[in-house]
Amino acid sequence: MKPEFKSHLRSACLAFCALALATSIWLPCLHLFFQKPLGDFYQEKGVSPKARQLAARHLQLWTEPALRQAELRKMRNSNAEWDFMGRSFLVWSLANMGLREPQAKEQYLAVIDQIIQETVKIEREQGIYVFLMPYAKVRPYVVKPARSLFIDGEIALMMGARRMLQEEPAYKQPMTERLSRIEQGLRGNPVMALESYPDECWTFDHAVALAALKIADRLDGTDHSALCQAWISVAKQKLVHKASGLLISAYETDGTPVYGPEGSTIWMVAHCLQVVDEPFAREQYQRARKELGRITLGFGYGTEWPASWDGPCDIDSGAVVPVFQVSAGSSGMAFMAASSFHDWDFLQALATTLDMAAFPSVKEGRLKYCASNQVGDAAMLYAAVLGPLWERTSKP
Amino acid sequence: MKTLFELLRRLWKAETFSPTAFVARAAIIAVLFAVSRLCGLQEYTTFLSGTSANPDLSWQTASVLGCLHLLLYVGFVLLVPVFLITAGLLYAWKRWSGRQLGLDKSLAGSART
Repeated sequence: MKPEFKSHLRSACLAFCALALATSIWLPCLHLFFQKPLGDFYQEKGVSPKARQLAARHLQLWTEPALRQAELRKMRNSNAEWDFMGRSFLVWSLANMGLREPQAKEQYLAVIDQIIQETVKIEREQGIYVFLMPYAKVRPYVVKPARSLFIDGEIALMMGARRMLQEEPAYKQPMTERLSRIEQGLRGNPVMALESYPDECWTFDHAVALAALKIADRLDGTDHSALCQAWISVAKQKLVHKASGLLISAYETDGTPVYGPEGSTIWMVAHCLQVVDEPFAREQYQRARKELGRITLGFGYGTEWPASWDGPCDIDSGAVVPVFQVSAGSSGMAFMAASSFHDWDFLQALATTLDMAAFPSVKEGRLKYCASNQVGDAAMLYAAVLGPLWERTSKP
Repeated sequence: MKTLFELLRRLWKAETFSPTAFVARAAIIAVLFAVSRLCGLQEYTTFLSGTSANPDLSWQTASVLGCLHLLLYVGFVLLVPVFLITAGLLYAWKRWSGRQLGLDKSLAGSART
């Protein structure tokens, strides 16, 4: 072997060892550069700095129509559902913020009313399909006339959240009408399943609708406890994935599973069921945390599927990072569940990942995550302020 | 200016596995990332959420721009510090082994006298 080559090989080996050592030094330290105190993202009382900055950006979107149209155009190009869900998450967030800081209530109420009225107007003028993905038109709904629980449940919860912040008689009747239709539909099906898409019933939407029913009970003195408990019983019998113990995501109107357990669904389901059946919701959260929640090198994230189930990558799961199986959809929703169930370690680890991987951008006190979009940011805002609305709903 | 050119020349001529070469790699990635950031490519990382940053641009173009920024960011956050630590370790090793060699030589010299 030539001495020159030998020396080169020696240098290469040395450099390789130094690289390996440097990597093992750097990787465990990386999260320390992004980790912030939990209070930066979520506070039990008041509004955290992040929530305030995120809200400032959303309030700007709703006060500057041109900006909002540009943002909505971007999202609707990919998924019309996101336009709708962005509205829902923002209304629920602002209601929680209003309950947290009553002095700012009037400002939030104005935007909440604007969103609800515009959303209902669009639905009335253009029909339910305007907020659904194109495949909703491929086949007819089983139950006629066609209604989407996705839309009815979220609008009812928007109206309920608004009324919890401050009663507005104009919303009482439309909210009651939507909830009555939901109640009738649930009672009229042996597995208490309502369609969001033709012959596609989503656990996510049922959990949102049940939370709206609980809010109606609080506001109007009705009692849907038996109905809610009946749904929980059916869910325990028919909708639990045996291997993981998690609720499945979607099923047909006869209860036949369509999609198994998914992170983009189960975290939100656990959050909504918290006001319906707290012990069951907590059990689902703990299972989801074990099956789908991960903290690696100080960074928290959610996987879309448990080890015992392999589903398709779709618009809900978002991009899934190979090897670690990090799912954007699941990780985003995990924030809400972690906040709801006061899982502070997980929430802080998730917030660390958000600051590292979502490209936060603050301009004039307004925060947006570049890797996200309006609905993703609204969901983050909701996770950062949720609590008071559910507290008031559950209060004996 | 002359010092800067001298530094660039030394970086360019550095041996592949020398500490200087690792510093040069870290510097190149950092500069490229800074350029990407200044050009506003960060906005295009919204492709990760399935959204296009600019509806007037094709989805593929927007995704490529977002991907480019993402790769440079990963490089900046992971590779730059690792390369700098590696350079530090190699430099320390060379100093230490050089001193050992000098020590051995002086010990051998004193033994002969």
